[in-house]
Amino acid sequence: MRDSSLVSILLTLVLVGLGTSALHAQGPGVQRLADDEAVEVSMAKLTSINYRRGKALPKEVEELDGQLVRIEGYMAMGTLEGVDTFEFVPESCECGRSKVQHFIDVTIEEGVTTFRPGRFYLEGVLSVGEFEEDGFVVSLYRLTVPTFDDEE
Amino acid sequence: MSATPVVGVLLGIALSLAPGLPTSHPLEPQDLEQLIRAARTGRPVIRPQAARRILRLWSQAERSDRAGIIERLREETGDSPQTLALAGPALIEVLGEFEDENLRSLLWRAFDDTDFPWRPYGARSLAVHAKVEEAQRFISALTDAIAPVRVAALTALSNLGQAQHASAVRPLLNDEDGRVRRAAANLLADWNEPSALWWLYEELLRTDRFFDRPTGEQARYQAWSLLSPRLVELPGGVAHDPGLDPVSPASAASLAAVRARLDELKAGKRPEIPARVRAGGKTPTELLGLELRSCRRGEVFLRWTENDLLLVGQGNPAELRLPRGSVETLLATTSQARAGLSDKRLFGAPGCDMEQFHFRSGQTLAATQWIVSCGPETVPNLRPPGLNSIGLALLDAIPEISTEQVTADPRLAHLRERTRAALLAIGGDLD
Repeated sequence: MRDSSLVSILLTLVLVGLGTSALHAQGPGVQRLADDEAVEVSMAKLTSINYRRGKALPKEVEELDGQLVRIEGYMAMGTLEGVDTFEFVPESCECGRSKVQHFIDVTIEEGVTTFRPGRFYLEGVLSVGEFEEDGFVVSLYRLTVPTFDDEE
Repeated sequence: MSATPVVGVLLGIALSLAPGLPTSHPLEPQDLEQLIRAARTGRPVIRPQAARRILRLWSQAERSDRAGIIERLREETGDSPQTLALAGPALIEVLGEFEDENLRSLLWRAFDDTDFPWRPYGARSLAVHAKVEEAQRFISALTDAIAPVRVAALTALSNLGQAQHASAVRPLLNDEDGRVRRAAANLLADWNEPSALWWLYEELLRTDRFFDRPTGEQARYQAWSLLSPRLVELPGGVAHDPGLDPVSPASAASLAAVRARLDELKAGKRPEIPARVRAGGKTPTELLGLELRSCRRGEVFLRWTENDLLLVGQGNPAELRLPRGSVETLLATTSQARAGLSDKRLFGAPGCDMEQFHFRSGQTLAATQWIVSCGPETVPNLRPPGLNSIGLALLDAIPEISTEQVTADPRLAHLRERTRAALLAIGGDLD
């Protein structure tokens, strides 16, 4: 009896843990605020943090998780046309893009990319935290935007 | 049934779901091959992580396995700067940490070759385990044409911990590049020169932009990330927010607290900082611009304004007065070529080399850009004819610069020659 209780508790703990991971893995923009007023966020603020894998992010950055935000930046130059994701970066060059804290992984809900070279705003729900694939951290910031308008 | 095996199974499941390459099993040849491939050709974001994981495998490996890893890396990087370049920047950036003389020697040969495309990565690689006998080479690199190489040289001197080289570092407080200034100030502060912190303070005052890019705001955040750990806490529990305009009332109060804290840290009286590195502010409306970033020839930032100034550099730029009406003429000269470029805005492929042509029609309008870009390999006829003609017109619009002007502001030295060289290195011949 005691054994089966222990097993149940452990199984529950593991399943809860897995469930949480799965929800997290769904990633960006799963939460929307009732209040749709976007918070203006500086790209410089996000990309200038001292990031080390596994280390807690600054509180004011973590608090942006799940918030509707408005951010200004550039589409990364390597962006493919006609896809629904791209990297949003502080400068329109390849400078430092390989660092995980230096870009925002954008997902477009409706529509696809066309390359836009200038600085522009995006509004969407920000997800903050390490996101891993094959043991590599592939993003720290993710933004889900409803559409991507190619008009400047 | 006992709980123990079930716990073991559950624990096994949980562990198998944990991220990261296993570190407990013996090094397998395929691990190394996978990591080398990921470091060379994986998504840009995973390349440096894969390279660092090779380093971790090496540091945790038995002696015989370590030798095998080194051998494989030597094979991968070849024996010349040309073969090393093919390994890519992520691998190059960690090679200096493998404590192998052959790899280090190859890195130095590549570093000495100004045509090697990944010199900043090589310099950072060498800087991590800088050796005392290499100090003079790093000191020479403090005047390198590539700003990130200068930053790497500062890192090397920092790692050597030889404060006797402070006199070689001090001139970099007034470097034209903000990244170099901040790194120099940080290093000198480490070497018990708290007065250097005033240069970081100065960066907190920047409000400059380069066309639409908020270069001042970026500098404020970067300076604050270096300065705030040194200040620990501001008097009166005041918080400083580098995201706020430095002239806002909130910033005025927090900057006063920063100054008071610098006083407590014995930074001394605020020094006379040369005008060219003082905080840049609002500039006249920029109508045309040329932004060149060459991995071999360095960077050039030029802007022509509506009131006939040529601004050179970022931050607080050098100003060259042009004859009245010359920018309007330049706009007219280039209008046909701009119209002929149609909707295509990016030529080439993303890489370490980039030319950006900026145009703005008026003060309130966002700028339009045309970008020419490539990786380390030269691409023939990369720049389209329309941009060739605009590039030539902009080159011709750089005036003659006197020796006195260069003495007053070194950013003006060989300006036309440097601009032409960078254009040639990136997009090729203009004719």
